[in-house]
Amino acid sequence: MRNLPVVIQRGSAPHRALQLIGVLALAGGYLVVVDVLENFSALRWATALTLAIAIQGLNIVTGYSGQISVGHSAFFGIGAYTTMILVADHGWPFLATLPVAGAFGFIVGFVLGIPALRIRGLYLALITLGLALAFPAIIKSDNFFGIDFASLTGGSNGMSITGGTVTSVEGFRWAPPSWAPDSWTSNDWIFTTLFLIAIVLFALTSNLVRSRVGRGLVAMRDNETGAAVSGVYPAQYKVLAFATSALVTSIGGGCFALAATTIGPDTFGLQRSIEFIAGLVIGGVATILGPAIGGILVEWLPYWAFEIDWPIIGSLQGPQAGILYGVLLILIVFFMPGGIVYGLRFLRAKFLVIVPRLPASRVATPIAAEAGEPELTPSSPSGAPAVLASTPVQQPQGEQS
Amino acid sequence: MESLPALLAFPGIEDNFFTLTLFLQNLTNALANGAVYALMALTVVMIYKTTGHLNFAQGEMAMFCTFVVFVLAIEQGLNVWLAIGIVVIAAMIVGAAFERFLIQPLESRSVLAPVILTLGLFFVLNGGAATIWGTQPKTPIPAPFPGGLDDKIDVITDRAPNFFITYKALGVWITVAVLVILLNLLLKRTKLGLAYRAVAANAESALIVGIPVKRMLMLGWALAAGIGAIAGAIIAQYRNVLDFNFMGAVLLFGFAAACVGGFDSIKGAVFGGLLVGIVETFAPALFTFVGNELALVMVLLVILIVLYFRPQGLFGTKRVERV
Repeated sequence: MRNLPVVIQRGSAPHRALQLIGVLALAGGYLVVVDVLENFSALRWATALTLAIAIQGLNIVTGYSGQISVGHSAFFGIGAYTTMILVADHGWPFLATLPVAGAFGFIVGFVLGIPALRIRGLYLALITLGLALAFPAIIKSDNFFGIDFASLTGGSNGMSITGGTVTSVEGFRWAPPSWAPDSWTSNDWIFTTLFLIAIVLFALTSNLVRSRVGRGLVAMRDNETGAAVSGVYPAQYKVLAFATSALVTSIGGGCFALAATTIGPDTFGLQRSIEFIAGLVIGGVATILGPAIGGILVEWLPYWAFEIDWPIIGSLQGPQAGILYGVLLILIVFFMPGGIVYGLRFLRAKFLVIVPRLPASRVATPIAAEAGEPELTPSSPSGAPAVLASTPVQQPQGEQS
Repeated sequence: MESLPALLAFPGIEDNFFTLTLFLQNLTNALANGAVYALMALTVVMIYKTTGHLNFAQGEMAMFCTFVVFVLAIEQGLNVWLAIGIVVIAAMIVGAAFERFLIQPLESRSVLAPVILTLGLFFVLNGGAATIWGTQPKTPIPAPFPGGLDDKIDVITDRAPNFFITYKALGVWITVAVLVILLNLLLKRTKLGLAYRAVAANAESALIVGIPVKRMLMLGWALAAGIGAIAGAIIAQYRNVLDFNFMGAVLLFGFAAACVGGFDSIKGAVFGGLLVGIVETFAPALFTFVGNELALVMVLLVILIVLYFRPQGLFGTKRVERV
């Protein structure tokens, strides 16, 4: 038997093969949802994807720049309402509304970020808490500094993408295109669309956090003074990171409008924000894959908790879902500070270690020999993996699942 | 309309606002609401001063305590103040235990970990209360102060809207005043308070001169939990509601008050609370273009303005960082 862990180099043939397996697994998962599972669940998986996108947005600000936002439900709502209003009341094509949704989110994030992020501390958490509580009130308001939002958004009645608040525009259906297989339902097509959008956004985020800006953010998160001395302007970086994160979450919200088909103000309250945070923390903070896992959990956990009759505990009731989230959060913070992704990486590191490709000038052998515990394994010196322990961990895998 | 000076008949201004009794009634409401927020802000400050954390579960801890007061006072028939006393002591022990067993192990981690933990605690307490006591509002609400319809002091009775002050509102003010005096005595006149302030000023130096820093962090949580228990019972009576969500918005306004006043200042908590109460009540009453439900937005605006011009809050200490 060979010695474990196996060490392979990033970019080498075995690493490429692993990445290919990851891509194939992703494609396989897609086919299972579209072809194997029941029709209704395609829509739930589509919703899970929109939540995953939103959580990825939160990840940019919470995971990579270390600021807590409790108000991403509002950005999610801004995106959803923008898309909904443009599609249902103005007859825009769905895809064209997403940039507008993102732009609105970016602007609001930018304006709120300036006072909140100029100074150190938990001010962003505070302001975004206010935002989360205020957003449903603003949506329902018929007198917001003279603006009648209720007539635009349907107030407490909410909106439907097929009819909008006014029924003047012909009903909207995201029907499969002519080239699609006959077996595809509208739900399958929604899932396919959102699947592709999610992949694009995840890839963009992955590139962003590995760019110069992303490295600046991580440096600032781990040591703000040190980063500032090295030429990272904390205020600028934080505000831009927050605005970008709002942009991504707003696009997620726009996608949510398509998957949910009807939305109301209370879909976007504090509860939703906490779900995002829970999803991010449970999935894996500061990882690209964590939000995907988080989105799936946030969508399916209540279903598993409420609708499945478990042995011993039975199925849970109303407010007990809150307890479930709370206990999960506390357990994760204590026992798996990096969330599921770091747990998986920890397991993988026992069998397989991926090391970066070395610069040509350096000799490979001495490094490879001591690669048993290199910087890439997810353990930080304290034994606690992950961002919650403030250790910058490089992404060993991008699109691999 | 005709009786008003021309200057006041301004577009967007509610003319009724300047009717004397109405104005006074608004003012008392604003100050009583503000005192409620000041209570919550005090709990926020007690924890922030030493640990630098925001406890998002603060409101839910107070909510849970209020339910226990309800059980003791209404279901078991104890005297309300005795029940509150018992709950305050229990809350202080539990608060210290939370700090010791849930927060202290996370001290070496990033600032995210305690925040996420208190969010988790928020849900456990919220869902726990809903599971134990149900989701329906409880009645009757334990009444620390006389709360009947006639329990009020009539000040102006000779014109159309009367002006009176209820005992409930008086009770909130008295509670805030007594708590602030007691806290000041504790912090300024006792050795324990001196140690607490030393930790708040500089934990490392305090450790070097032999102050048990970790005990002081527990003291901060214990004080916050105790004040929260009193605040919960009083807020439930003042707002006339006791259900598992009744502290949600109050906590936000408490955070806002602490933020406006300065997170490390007791004086700031009180003034911040009153200011937030005034903005919350007066903005919709004064401006026709601010709907009632937008009080929250106005308060958010106040936070933003204060943070923009005076980030440390009105009474807070500016933090200077050494490298």
